[in-house]
Amino acid sequence: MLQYIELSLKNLSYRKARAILTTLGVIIGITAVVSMVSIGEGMTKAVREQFEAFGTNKILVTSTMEYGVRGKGLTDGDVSNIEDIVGVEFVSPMYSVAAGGEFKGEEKVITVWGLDPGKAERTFSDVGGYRLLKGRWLEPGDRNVVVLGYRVHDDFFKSKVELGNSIKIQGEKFRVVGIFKETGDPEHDEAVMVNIDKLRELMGREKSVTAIVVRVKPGYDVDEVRQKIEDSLERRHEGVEFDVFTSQQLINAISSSLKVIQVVFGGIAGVSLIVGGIGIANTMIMNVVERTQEIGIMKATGATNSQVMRIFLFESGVFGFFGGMIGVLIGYIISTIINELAENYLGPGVLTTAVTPSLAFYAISFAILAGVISGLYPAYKAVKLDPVEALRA
Amino acid sequence: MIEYIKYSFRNMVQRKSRTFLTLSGIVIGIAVIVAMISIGEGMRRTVNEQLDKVGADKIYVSPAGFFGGGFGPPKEFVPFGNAELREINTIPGVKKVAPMYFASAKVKVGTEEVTANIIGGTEEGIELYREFLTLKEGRYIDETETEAVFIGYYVSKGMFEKEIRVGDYLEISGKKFRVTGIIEEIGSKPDDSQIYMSIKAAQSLFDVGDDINFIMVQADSKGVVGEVSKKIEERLKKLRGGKDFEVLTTEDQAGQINQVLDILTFVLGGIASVSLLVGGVIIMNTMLMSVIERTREIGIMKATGATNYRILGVFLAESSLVGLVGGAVGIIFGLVTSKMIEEIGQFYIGTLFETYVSVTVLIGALIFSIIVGSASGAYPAWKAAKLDPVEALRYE
Amino acid sequence: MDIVRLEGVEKTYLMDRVKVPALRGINLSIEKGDYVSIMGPSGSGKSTLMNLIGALDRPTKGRVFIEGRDISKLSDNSLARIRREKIGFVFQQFNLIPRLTAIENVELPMWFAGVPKVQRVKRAAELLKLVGLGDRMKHRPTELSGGERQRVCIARALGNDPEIILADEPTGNLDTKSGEGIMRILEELNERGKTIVLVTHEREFGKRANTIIKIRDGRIVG
Repeated sequence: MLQYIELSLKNLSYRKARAILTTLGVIIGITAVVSMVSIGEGMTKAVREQFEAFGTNKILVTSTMEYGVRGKGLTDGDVSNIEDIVGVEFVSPMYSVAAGGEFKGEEKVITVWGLDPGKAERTFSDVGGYRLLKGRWLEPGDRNVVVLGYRVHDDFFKSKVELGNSIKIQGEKFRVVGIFKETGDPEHDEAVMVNIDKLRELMGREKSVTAIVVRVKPGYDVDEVRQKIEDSLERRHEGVEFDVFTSQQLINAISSSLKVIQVVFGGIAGVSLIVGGIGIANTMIMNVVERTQEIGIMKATGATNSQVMRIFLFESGVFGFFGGMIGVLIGYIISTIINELAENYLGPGVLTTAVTPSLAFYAISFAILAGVISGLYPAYKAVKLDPVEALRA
Repeated sequence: MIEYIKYSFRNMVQRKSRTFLTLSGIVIGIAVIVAMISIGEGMRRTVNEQLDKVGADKIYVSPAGFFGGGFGPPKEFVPFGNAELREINTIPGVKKVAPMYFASAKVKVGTEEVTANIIGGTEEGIELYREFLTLKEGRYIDETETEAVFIGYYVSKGMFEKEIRVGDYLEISGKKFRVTGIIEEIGSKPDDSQIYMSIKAAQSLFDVGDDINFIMVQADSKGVVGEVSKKIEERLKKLRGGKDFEVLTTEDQAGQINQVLDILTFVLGGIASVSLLVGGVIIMNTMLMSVIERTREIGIMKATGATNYRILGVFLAESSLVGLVGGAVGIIFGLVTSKMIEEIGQFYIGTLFETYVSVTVLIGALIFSIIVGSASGAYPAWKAAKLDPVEALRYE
Repeated sequence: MDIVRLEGVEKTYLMDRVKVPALRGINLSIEKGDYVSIMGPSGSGKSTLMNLIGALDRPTKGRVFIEGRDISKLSDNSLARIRREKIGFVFQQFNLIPRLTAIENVELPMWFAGVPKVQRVKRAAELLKLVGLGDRMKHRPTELSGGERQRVCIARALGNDPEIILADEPTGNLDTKSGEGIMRILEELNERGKTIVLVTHEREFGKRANTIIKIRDGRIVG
């Protein structure tokens, strides 16, 4: 084993330019695959972390609202029904709407979340990243006040919105009492939070609820409680669709769609690895031709066919190994750079990348495999050489 | 020139497996690039054709965020009502106003239940639809019919085990509707899965009063579309107390979609180009080897009076030829791959999904391939040209 | 018992679809510990004969025995095993691997035979000392003179302590003085009991053997 590696290294160092170029092919291929897959991995990781922060003891109930269908959605009645279910610790209704926002004469569509002012902090403080930057949370009794997501304060409008300023929502003034720290999720950072009753009044939507956050009491099975909520909703609203998610289900749903992206991009990048393999095959065939006489010597001094085979397969495998190692390293660097760039230009958490140990491991194994497979035909050619003729070459 | 090519060609033929592998690198690279770009180009063509059919004189008014939601908790939209319709109708340059109500509902046939998209429209809406939809059989509905629908092709064939024909009944959200007509296949599953009914029927079915969540406006002419859409925006803002809606013209829509497709094409093509880069590395490798192997030959050429310039030319011609041949074969493989992707895509998405390879892309790919070939050959050719004739002749 | 025996051996090559006979019925036996020279002009078939004795090739017809075992029908791998255990080759062209040092070249057959690294290095060093290259072990073939290269080749041939040393024109590429040195080493090995088969067309060297086989047009002529 060691001898084979030693001999391979010696052979590779003999034709340096050729070895470097051949390895370069694999390096480029593996780099492309690793950086592409790392984007998918990073997104999956980010999603998982976000939902884990949301807490595995939470259940999210939403009405299926394609095209913003209203009228048969969730209502305050559902909220009190869910509150009565055994195992439920805490229920917080939400009403969110895309409304017209205005600040200093600039008008933009803005996402407004209506929350029970007394429950806002409890609902969102354990959700990852929901920490105040300035000011305070909504408090009971609040009516025309608003707490801003970071981006709304920072760069959503042309000028910064500060504490004490007023923004208009559907024409009515709301005073800014708090600003959240950046969460990295634009969906959250570009939203504002107000009193649910005030918002529903403003939109003419009494008792309407778009989502309900449920926390399960410690010691109760989350899936069991989810089932009970589903049953209760089905009894109240026949023929209307609801989605009742636990965070684990959400993680799985999003992860699997990210997997598809990963496979597609990784697959296209993987083609370059195939080309890299062709490069190895090319080099190995040239090596076999160039070393015909040497193969003759080996056979004359007693090398069996399998020993000759092994020598050449090792050599092509070594290309794969080095290409894979360096490729993973460069892929890691590129992935880090993408991360930095995305953070600077798109904001934190929008596009994260991660080279996980298992990705590195698979990439290197894959590269070695590609090397060995590419070496098969050249090695076979070497084995088939007739020793007498090979010596004469 | 011809001499160079002849000479290169002979060298390529002499080393079959090497030439084959070197070419494969370029072939695969070019094929993948062509195939990837063809996806973006095809989509762009389809979308623009569809939008052309719809016509440039249309304006779409919808509540903000009506199209596409993204992650995050679901949001409600503030729908339009009759007030908005009246307001738009008073704007000069508006020819036709078609209010619509979009919803998704469970549709039952026998024991089968499927979720489908419902579009409720008025007489004007049906008239506008008639401009770009063709009826396969039966008839459109009348505005006053409250228990009749006409359906997309996929609803009649494919959505349910049983084929739905004119005169059959569908149970939508618990209520029975008779099918009066079936639309010719459009070629995209979402578009072919729609069920059209009168807006009154939809509003009462979903119990939403006079809510409208989509308004299609036809302007007097293409020329006034921009002006009219601006007016609609101003008037509705005043009426609703805030800009919580969107106004798009067909052109705006095309612009938005094309921007997304441009990015998609660029990203796919970019990732695919990495393969070509690796292909270029292989060319360089092969050419370097060729120079080493032919050291004596170079020595002889120099001894018999070849200038450095000429030798540079010989090797550059060879690598460019690899680029040219690889590119040409790659394009053929690219076209085949693109056709395969189209077949797969059509199976999953509908016949509207097509890939398209423009002549510009073909020529571009070929030129790109030749550039990669000659760029990869530059260093080896330079090395060959710089060889010392005395040492080259002594080389064994 | 004869260490090498050939019975009615014929060898025909196919060249451009024309059958070219190289050996036309050779009967021959070599005793253990003998010193045999095979002589003949170029094209006489002596290299072919050598390849057959060396288990590099199989006869078209007839049988080749090495230590009493018929090798004419053996598989590639069995032939490889015989080559590395019974036979040591010394070539006119030296046939050393240019990228490997002298000692690494000597190690090669032992590596193929599965001798552990430590033992291998020890034995290779001893063999190089034996041929007088104790101070040249780390040199590559290109850094050695022709005579030195041929001595590395002999050391390599001795790696697995084979019974037979096959030397194909070992002095062909050497000046007289170096050639004489090589012949001395071979003769010394013969005195220690090795069977030496020397293929040469140089009369003076050939005549020094105990048995002389003359070959012409694929037949033994004396």
